[in-house]
Amino acid sequence: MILFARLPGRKFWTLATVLICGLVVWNNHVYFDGGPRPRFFYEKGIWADAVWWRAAFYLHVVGASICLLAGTPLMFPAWTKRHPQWHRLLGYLYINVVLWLAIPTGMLLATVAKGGWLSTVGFGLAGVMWWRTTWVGYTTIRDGQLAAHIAR
Amino acid sequence: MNLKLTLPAIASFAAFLGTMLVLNQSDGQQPDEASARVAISASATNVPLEDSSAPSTPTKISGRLNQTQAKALLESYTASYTKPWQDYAQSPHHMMSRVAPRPVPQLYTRIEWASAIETDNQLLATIRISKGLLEPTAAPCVIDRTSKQVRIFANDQWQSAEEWVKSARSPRDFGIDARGPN
Repeated sequence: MILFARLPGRKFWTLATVLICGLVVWNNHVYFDGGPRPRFFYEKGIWADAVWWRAAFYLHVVGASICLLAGTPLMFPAWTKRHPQWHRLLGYLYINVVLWLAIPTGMLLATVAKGGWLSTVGFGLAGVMWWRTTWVGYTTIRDGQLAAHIAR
Repeated sequence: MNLKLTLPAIASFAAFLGTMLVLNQSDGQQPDEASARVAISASATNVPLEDSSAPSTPTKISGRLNQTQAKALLESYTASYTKPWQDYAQSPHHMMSRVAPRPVPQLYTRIEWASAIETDNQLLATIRISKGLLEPTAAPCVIDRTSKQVRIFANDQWQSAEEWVKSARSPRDFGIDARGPN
């Protein structure tokens, strides 16, 4: 995985990252399977009853899950070399889900984050950085700047 | 901007509005939780009055709640009052709902009965609400034996039992974020 390319134990960290991403995606089924109300909803109190909050939450979970599934393969140079069309397809899927779904809904949720204004600021900053890096990833490859796109 | 970005942006916004619409409609079809709790309690008010119609002896027909019936009535209200916290305590924990999973603190509400004082028309009792490590609170209540109306002194005012049930605090109100396990 390109993220750990220059780190010791890169195979281990790659495997751990992929497995954890899969675990997160699988765990999100609890919000859609009609089972017992997840504990997180109780902890959110009145916000979990607000229509706008729940809409943002569900779309955020869906968007982030798609990001994890579509984004993970993009991080493997060997796979990209063998399947450049798939990289491009998944790349468009990834940036669109991030820019227009996962981040905007995440920012909405951040306004009422647990932990008060400090958490709101933290999530907000994370959202801004995520948006920025994703946008740069798109513009650099659009302009043919491969090295910048890979960000080595 | 590239159509490959513009169209998904519009679609995402439409998806958000559509999701809000769907959730709003489904909320309208279901009673809210507070009303449901009150409905559960209200069904318990259909407690049959004591049958004092003695066939032969000329006794007075009172038609009033006896202590056992009043106790059942109060217990239905207190069960509805504690339901939000108990639902929370029983809800399954999922690993990713927090980085460091921890058991639910024993901050659930439990109603303890004080001894009841009985008069001709009213029954008096005290509902003691224990909040785990917090100081227990007492809520005096008056039950009208004829009308089966229950009045409870809570939140610094006398209120009907239905209003009291609706005021039941959510897990978030118990400051679950601030307190750790026992």
